[in-house]
Amino acid sequence: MNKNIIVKKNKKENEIEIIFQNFKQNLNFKQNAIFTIDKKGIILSWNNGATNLMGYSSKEVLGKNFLKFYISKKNTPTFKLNHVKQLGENAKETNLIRKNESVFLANVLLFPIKNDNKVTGYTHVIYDVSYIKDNEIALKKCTAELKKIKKTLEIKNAKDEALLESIGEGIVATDNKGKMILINSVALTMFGLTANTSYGKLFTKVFCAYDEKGVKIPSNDLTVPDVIKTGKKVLHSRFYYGIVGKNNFPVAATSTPVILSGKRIGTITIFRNIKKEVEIDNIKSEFVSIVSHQLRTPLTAIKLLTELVLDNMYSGMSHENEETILNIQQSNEKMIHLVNSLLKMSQMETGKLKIKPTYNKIYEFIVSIADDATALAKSKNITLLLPKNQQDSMSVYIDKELFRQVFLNLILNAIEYSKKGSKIWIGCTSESDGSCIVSIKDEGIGIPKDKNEKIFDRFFRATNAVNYKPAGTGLGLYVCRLIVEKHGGQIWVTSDEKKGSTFYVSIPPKNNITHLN
Amino acid sequence: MKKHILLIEDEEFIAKVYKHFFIKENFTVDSAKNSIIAKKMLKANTPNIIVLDLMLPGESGFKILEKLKAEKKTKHIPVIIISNISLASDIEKCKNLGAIEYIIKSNFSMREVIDKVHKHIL
Repeated sequence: MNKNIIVKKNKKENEIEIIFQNFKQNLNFKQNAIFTIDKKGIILSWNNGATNLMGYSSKEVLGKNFLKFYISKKNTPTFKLNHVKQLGENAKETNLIRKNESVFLANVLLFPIKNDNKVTGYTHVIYDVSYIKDNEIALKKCTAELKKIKKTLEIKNAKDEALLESIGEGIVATDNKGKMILINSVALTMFGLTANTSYGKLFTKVFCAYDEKGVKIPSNDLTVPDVIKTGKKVLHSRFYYGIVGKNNFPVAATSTPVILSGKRIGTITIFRNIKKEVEIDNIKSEFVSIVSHQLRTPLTAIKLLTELVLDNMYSGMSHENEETILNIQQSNEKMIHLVNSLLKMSQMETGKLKIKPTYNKIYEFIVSIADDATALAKSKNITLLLPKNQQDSMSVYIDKELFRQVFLNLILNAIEYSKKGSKIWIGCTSESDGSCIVSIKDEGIGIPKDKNEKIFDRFFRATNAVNYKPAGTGLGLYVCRLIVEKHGGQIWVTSDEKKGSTFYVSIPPKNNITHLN
Repeated sequence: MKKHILLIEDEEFIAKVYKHFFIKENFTVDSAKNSIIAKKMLKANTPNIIVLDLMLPGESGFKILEKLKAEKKTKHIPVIIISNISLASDIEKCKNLGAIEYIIKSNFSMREVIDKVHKHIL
């Protein structure tokens, strides 16, 4: 009987083995257990795979009940013969326990063994699916993680988009070749673009720019190609940008490189429409020029009428009255000077005053200005010491008229705030970077230490200067600063109260003059 | 014979002083406060130089200058602009229209104005 069963079983086992080989090949299992049990669950045969998988040798399990492999009886496969019509139909996933008490997830298949159409036992196939499960879990974890990242990115993206859209400025991003990859809605509306027709196109093919005179800027000099070329932030403070073939308007455009892990990956350009600001600037300068005209008219009348009075002096005027008239004249001249300074200041600030730079030999230039101040210096017995004669003095690229005003103002100030019989040194040196520094040193009243910076602010006057000369306007040095800065230069002072001051003006070499536009 | 100046200036005080000093300098002077009077004076007595303000009631100094330079009889007469407008664009405009000199009134003494007249008078 026993022998019979084994024979039958072996036959069946062969069949199963073939099918199982397919499984094995398909699923590439490393460990598969195959064993047979009788109807009561007593183990009758045990293969090597079973030993490998479960950890028991055949000696240890033959004749024992197979249920010891199951963690709970709930999980035990039921042997309902009627339901087992086909092989593998009752495959079940369950946790099994090894000899070493480790638990693993297994797929369990039961195949009935029939003898004369009666079920005599079962072939039990177990294969380890824990690693599939592990993979599955890992995969699920991974998917969850990805979903989380996706969501975070979506939120971040939405935030970025909301941020880009809520910004009042137009934003255009390009890749490293200048092709546009993002344009926010403000920029689209500002320039009348559509996203579909603009994305992927070169910035320089879509945008064009003009300077204030309406001269077209070469496309290579637009902000984006400039950033790509230099890798540095580029600012166009007052150019007229537009779409090729459409209207343009004044904008402040700033392009910055986008750096990722030390590598430039593209550019971001911010456009601010400054049409209103330009309009306001124009109104402001118009206002100032009208007001200054209105102010000048009565001042001119006073100027000319006092001249007339002085001319009529022979008609019998006391010396006292003559002096009074002269005082009126002096005050009036100061008022005229103030109006002129205000006007110049306004024109400077609004960019209305165009500087017209030319090349000038600095030594000759300084000397000619000092000449103009000689008379005043002599009247106070002040010695003006000029820089050493330079055979080949350096050329500076400046607006001659405006710089004459700067140096004359500084020299006249030096004379004004110096005591009789003192000295004034005028120097000029060329620096290694190609710039030129002019200095004017006096032995005058000096400037309080904490006011050294402030004296270049508009309407600022140091208290000791007010006491010394009450009538100054507080605009002279401010206008000097505007002129110097307009040329890309700097003006500063070193001073000790009661010991004297040295004023410095630096003039950059031509190619460093960035503010000429 | 004395040289003749046509002064076109609406500001009474200023016209008075200009006239005083021009006469003192041995010129004869016609003084007009608008373009209509100026036209009559121009017909009656051709000046050797015209001293012209810009901000005038009625026809502006720009318009008068333009007409003077368009007219065959008057286009050779030198015109000195006297104005307190100091906009670069206006100065440029007058030079382009044919003005020989542009004087910002508040910044010039009478002596300097007379020197300019002497320099350009026919």
